[in-house]
Amino acid sequence: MPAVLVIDDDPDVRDSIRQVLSRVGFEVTVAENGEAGIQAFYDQPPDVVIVDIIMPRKNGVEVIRKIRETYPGARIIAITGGGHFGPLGYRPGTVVTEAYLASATQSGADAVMSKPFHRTDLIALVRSLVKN
Amino acid sequence: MISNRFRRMRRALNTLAGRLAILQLLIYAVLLPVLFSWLDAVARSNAVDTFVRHSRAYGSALARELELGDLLESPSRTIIFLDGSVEGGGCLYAAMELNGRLLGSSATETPSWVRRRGDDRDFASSPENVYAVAIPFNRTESAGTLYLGFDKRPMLQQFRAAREHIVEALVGYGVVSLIAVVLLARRVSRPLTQLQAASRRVARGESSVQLGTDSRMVEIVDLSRDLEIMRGELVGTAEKLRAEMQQRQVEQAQRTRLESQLRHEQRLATVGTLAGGVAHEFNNILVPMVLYAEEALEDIDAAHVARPNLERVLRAANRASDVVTRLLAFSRPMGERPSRAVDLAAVVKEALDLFQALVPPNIELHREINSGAGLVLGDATLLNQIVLNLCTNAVQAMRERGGVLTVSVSVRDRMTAEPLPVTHLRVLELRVRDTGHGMDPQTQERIFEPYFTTREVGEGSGLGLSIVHGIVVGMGGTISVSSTLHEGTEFTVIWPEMTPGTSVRAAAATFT
Repeated sequence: MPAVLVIDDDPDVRDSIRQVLSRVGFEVTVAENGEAGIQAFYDQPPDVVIVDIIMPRKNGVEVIRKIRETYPGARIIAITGGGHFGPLGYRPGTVVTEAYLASATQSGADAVMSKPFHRTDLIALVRSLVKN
Repeated sequence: MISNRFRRMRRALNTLAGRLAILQLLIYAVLLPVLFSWLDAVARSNAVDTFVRHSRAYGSALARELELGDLLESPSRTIIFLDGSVEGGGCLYAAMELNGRLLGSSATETPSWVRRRGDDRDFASSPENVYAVAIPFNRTESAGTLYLGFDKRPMLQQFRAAREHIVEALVGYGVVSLIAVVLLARRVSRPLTQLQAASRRVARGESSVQLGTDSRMVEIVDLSRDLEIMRGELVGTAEKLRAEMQQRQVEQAQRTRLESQLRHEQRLATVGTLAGGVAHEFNNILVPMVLYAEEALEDIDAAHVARPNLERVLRAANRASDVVTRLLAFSRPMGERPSRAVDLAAVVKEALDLFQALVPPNIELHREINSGAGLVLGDATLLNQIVLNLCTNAVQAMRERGGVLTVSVSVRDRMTAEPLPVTHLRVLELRVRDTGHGMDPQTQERIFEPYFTTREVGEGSGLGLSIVHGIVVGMGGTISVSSTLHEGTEFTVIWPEMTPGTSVRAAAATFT
């Protein structure tokens, strides 16, 4: 049974992804932040990692880099809710989403998805990565 | 009307000429009567002395003739002699007493009081304008007295004429000297009036009017020279002050404009921040809604009674997603931002001009900007945000103790170790260095993490660094930090140089 690790700080997001993927036959583990995610990855390397980009305590980009360093063959999907916040701001939804997705890609993510996404798209993406 | 005239008069009396004239008149009021009475007394005593001496001499000469001659041989000869004395014009009357017998001139009547007077030389006590003289003479056997009466009137007339002359002379002297004083005062005050008129013109703004007079008086010349020097200095100072004020106004206007521009930017940023935060949360919330609803639809038959409702939930979720997208579009004032070639030095300069207005006085802003550094591929507004963000953090780090904020832009050869996505020979480098409180290594490691500052401090001031990181990376660059606790922090951002041959499309490919 292919294993999937979901790293996201939002419990509803984690749980919903876990339920969708579990029911189509994946073995899903979850982690609530970057550090815990990396730990979970090392404990039992999964076939696919789904990682949120904007997270406290090690963001997604760093998680991806870290995993890539030690497991070049890991399959990673980066997801993000887009938007952002900051004192001087920048233009949310424009470069920021793209910037994070781009930096995720550069760091080694195999695929990126912006939230929210459809169940079928999620399943298809995970399956395609597992097959490869 | 009357009070006006009075005021004018008082004003005239308060001038130099008026004051001197009053002084002169006061002196005259005391001096002239004294002078007059003295001159009068001298003239009077002179005239009287002369008259008395003359009368006495005349009388003595007659008496000698009476003593020596034989005029007394007969009364008729005596009377002829006396008549001759009177008719000669010497006196008014003539009489002679000898041996108790009084003989008078027949030409005039001898007054009855003659004999009583004796040898009276008191001029003043003689009545009726007559000066009477009694001169004794001796004959061998007897003694007699010659009485003569002289007319005082011609002498008194002469004396009155002399007094008139004295008065005329004194009045003439007074008038002439008064006029002389007034003229002199005018001569002194005229250059002063000229100076006054000139200085009034200077005060009205005709700063080129020279303060001078045509007077040759040493004091006036000195005064006007000093005043002219003072005018020169005043005019110079006034010009300098005016120029400074003008410059200050221009600077103030510029500052106000920049501040309002910055406030506007910050308002936009706040709205954007808010919208971005809401969007992020909403998108996260929408994930379970969509997934669970779709999951439920998978579980039920096509004819299940719950299907339409679940489909409605999904449609609503899709609508929510659209709303989020629109919200993001709203907070994106300039629409899509395609990447293009941007002059990094120019953008940084512009951002610093904007930022300058907000630098507290205890912080010095140094610019080391190589204007010809070159182009990078990106978005000017976002670059602007990077600079403002890094500078704001730097200023906050130095807010309490002050310090130096140095911003530099330069171009240099690329080092092979640098993890840049596209192979470029040269890189553009933006450095923002402060002398603030610095960071410990643990903080440095996490400084670019999203949420890092908010979760730890809750202030939001450093939150922008994750954004800066995102933008920099999105533009194909890298950002690094080096910091020493209590000494300062330096952020270094590098981008590959965009050469004219670089394809925008190829470089932009890193964004998707």
